[in-house]
Amino acid sequence: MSDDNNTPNTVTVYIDDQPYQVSTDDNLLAGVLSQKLNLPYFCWHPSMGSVGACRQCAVTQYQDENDQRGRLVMACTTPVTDGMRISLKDSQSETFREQVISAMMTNHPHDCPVCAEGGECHLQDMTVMTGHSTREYKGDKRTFVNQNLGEFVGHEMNRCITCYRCVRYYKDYAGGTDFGVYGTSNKVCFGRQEEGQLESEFSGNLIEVCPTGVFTNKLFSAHYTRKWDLQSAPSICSFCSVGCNTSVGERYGSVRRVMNRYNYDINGYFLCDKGRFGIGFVNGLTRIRKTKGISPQFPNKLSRLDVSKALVHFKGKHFIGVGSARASFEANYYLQQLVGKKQFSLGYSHNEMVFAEQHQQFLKHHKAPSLAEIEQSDFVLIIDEDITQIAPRIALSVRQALRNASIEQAEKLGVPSWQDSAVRTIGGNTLSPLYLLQSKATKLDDVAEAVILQKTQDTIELLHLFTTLLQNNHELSKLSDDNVSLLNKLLAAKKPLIVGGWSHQSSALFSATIEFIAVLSKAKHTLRACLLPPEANSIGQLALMDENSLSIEQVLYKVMDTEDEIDGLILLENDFAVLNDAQLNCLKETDKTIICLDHSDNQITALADIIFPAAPITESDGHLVNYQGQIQAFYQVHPSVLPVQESWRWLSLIAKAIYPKHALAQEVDSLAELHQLFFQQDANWPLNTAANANDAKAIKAIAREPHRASGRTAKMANISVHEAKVSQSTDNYRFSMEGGDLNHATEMPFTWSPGWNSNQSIHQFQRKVAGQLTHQANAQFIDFTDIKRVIEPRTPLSEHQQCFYPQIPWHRSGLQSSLNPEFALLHQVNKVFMSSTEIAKRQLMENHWVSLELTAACTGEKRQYIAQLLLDEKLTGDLIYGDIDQLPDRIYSEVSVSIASAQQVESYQNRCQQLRQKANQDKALILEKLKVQDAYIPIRLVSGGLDNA
Amino acid sequence: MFSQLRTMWLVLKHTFTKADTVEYPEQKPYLAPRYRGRIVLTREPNGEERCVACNLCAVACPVDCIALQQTIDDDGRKRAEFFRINFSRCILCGFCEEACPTYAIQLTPDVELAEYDRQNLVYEKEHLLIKGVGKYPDYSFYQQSGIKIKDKDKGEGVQEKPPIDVKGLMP
Repeated sequence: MSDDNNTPNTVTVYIDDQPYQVSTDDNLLAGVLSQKLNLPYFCWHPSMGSVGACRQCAVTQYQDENDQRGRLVMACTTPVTDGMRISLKDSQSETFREQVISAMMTNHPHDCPVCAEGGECHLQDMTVMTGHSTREYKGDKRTFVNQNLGEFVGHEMNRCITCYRCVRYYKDYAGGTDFGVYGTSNKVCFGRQEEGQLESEFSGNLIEVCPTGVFTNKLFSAHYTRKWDLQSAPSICSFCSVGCNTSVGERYGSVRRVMNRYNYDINGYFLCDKGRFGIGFVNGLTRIRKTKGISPQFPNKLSRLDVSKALVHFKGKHFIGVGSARASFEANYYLQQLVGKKQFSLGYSHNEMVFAEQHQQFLKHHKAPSLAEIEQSDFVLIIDEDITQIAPRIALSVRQALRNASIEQAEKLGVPSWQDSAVRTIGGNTLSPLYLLQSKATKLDDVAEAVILQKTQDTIELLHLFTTLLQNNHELSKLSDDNVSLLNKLLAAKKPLIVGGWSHQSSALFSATIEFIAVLSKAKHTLRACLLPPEANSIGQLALMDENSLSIEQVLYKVMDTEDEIDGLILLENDFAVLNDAQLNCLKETDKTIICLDHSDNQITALADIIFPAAPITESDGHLVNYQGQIQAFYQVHPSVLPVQESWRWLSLIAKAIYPKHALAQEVDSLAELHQLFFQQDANWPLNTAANANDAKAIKAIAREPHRASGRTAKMANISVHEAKVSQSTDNYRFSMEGGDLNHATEMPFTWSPGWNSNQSIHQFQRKVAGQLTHQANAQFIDFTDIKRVIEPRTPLSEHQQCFYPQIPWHRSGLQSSLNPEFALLHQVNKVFMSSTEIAKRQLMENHWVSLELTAACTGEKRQYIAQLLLDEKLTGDLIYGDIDQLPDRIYSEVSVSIASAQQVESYQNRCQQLRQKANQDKALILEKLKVQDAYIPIRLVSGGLDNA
Repeated sequence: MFSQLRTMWLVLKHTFTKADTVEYPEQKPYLAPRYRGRIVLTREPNGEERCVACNLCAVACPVDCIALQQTIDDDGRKRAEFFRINFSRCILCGFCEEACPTYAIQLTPDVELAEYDRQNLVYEKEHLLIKGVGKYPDYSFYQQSGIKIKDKDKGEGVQEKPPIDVKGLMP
């Protein structure tokens, strides 16, 4: 992506004799589309450049104003030059474009009614745009046998128009290896070598990249609705810290799908599979939809009074509040204010607190780069972080950054960066350097200049050595060749990038990383560094952290301590995944009250005395803070079914009952009111909506439904033929098809513009193609304050003990992933990797089943697993890593491996089989439940809290 | 004066002309087979449901009185999980019939849609689905669309070539 906004090189281009100012940074097609003119295209993609494969974007170019004949050129492969004259409306190019579509239509089947792309199909749009209205071809149509591409992506090859976008995206852009194009001439087929799950973490983008319905969303198709019927809201992905912008669609009261919502700085045009296919957790079987521990006066209708009655005897009691990085920024802040800073825990363990503190101070001094900035790097160093699994979208951006070397090479030869195939030919295998310092193999290994596989302890030492080298400028001899070249290239790079994170759990490595970055950034001002926290709102939590914040261990200590006057815990969407069995047992035995707010059952809700059903991200309004500290809003996709409501609404009820004298114990009806309340109490509250209130009023509320949404007078007619009023929302988006112009929304619920029904309509809302949105809200970042305390790592030597490094794939991390049965089906078998020397030393056999006994460093608890032993040739020494299902995320100090008996293997395989069966059953059950639910849409007049209809 | 006499003459004259109104409901007027009345869902010649739940009727409906949900059955066919028409809103415009790509939804000459209770005018799929093919005796969507279903593999439909052998080397 080229740099936006800073005076692009524009020239005058005459399009149909009208002068336009067009940028020369991009090709003619992008230039025409940037002027909001309609020109059909297929193979060109704003972030993948041009190849000129489809011949659809032909325009007539004229020599000068006297030239009457002109010549056809493909706009996507034509550079913009000053004073050039082209025509889109002349009959020559119009006929040509119509004939191109006509040729594509000879083999395109008549299956739009059963195609999931129908209604948002780029091919449909382009066919209408070219005016090709009758089928001329009367012959037989080509057919293909489809492939099963796994859980997420459906395949219908008949519909293919061979634009090559899919293979260019999957292989060239996303670096996938298990997808390709086969056959010749009219028999070209796109798919895998053999049937099976697509291995890329970014396979879901095929659905949006494909201009027609060859690749469709299987999960969406199973419970399908047309785009024009989807009620959508702008949302933020809640799975990782990147904070990708999403558009979540709903129909008949259940969430159907997630689509990409363009954001220039963050996700651009692409999402990862976790964000796209993981939304099913909001429809999960274990969703909490009833309160526990509260008896309503009238069955089926919980009122505010019931809640205060149930909580009134806790008035004035001392509660500890535990927040979480899964809950919204507002809810965490509210809880912290209610219980008091000294009684508040961020939901981090002691070890994580060490990370949090350092990370907070780091962000105070270093601005983390956006994904667009990451893509401009020419050197990347990743320090012990498997970013493809932790924050997949960043890995995709890093892959783009590695192309900068070949783009530079091409530019030297005068080939612009948008000439995709030319750049790739010139570049060959040239990649910008990527160095990986890590303890396990990752998906980025194939594009790395060097993979330095070593234990965490060795990485720490290496970073210390680098730091001293930078400070003193000598001792290079101590380093291995790889490390010398790493350091040299790092220092030679123009825009180097360093990526680190929390997942290795070593606070020593984290501080070594920060120290290294601090020293290096003095020598190199262009250095960018980003550290990846584990969850969607982790950085928001850091903003609330101060010297009084409690760790989970301290909370448990206070709960167990009989002398401490603590009466209970309020847990805000925290499932205490960090607790070990012993700690969980302590909590089980305590007689203190546990109040839980969460959206799905987990190990803590099983212990809770009082449960308030909290709304998940799709049913709530709020904000999340991404890895850069950028605050981003998400909105309700549909009103929640009472008594489910947003955590902050529950907290306001809790406040009134337990802390009636607190300044924040007031009734709030909307998020805007809540913000107002916070701002009145605390001038540092970063989200002052009062300042924006005037802007908000100036903009008419935006409709969540497209203007073509159907079934208004029928969808609830089975319940009552008298149509209910639409729910009144408490935010600036409406639950209906009536509202202001999409174009004025800073966050668009969906994208549509006349003639452009697919997501490609986004260029109508951009300042220029692939640039900032016309009405992009100003990004707002958290300001961090100084904290006095320095938390000492409790077990400074744990890195020394660590001997097993778990690989945790994206589909298995966090509570919300575990609620998706489709994700459970992705797990193959447990695998453990060793070096050949280690295998020989332990007298094991490669490719055999082994029994693995792991001892956790902190508690000494032992767990046994069956796994397949594999050889990693890059490994040296006694480093062992592996991918083990249901392995708690801890540091393991001891590992003993022995050949597994046939019986053990059989029972393991049976267990795997059972898990798969269970997942398949759950999948069917969820679908069944949703279909029943479709017919009974809950009627709500106002989407506020309890008592609000 | 003259005008009044003329009026009386005309009124009296009509006493002897044949009445245009009929004794409904004992006597029924003629309605053409394509008259637009009550909506039905028809079946294919082999008895399978024609509706593939594509939502085009719903989106074409000017009063938004059609709601449905698609489901994929085990035989690979897409059908409506529920299909509801609120006849108390329907204006019998026939846009749904025009929009239907599978000839499933058709209007019949039955216009007798009166109820004492509006709720009874909400028709579900079981009320709409008839046994016959309606006005189009031969049409079967799945034979035309290239989609694979249980009894029709790729290449077996109308105007379909046999599936391409991807591994074939011939040009």
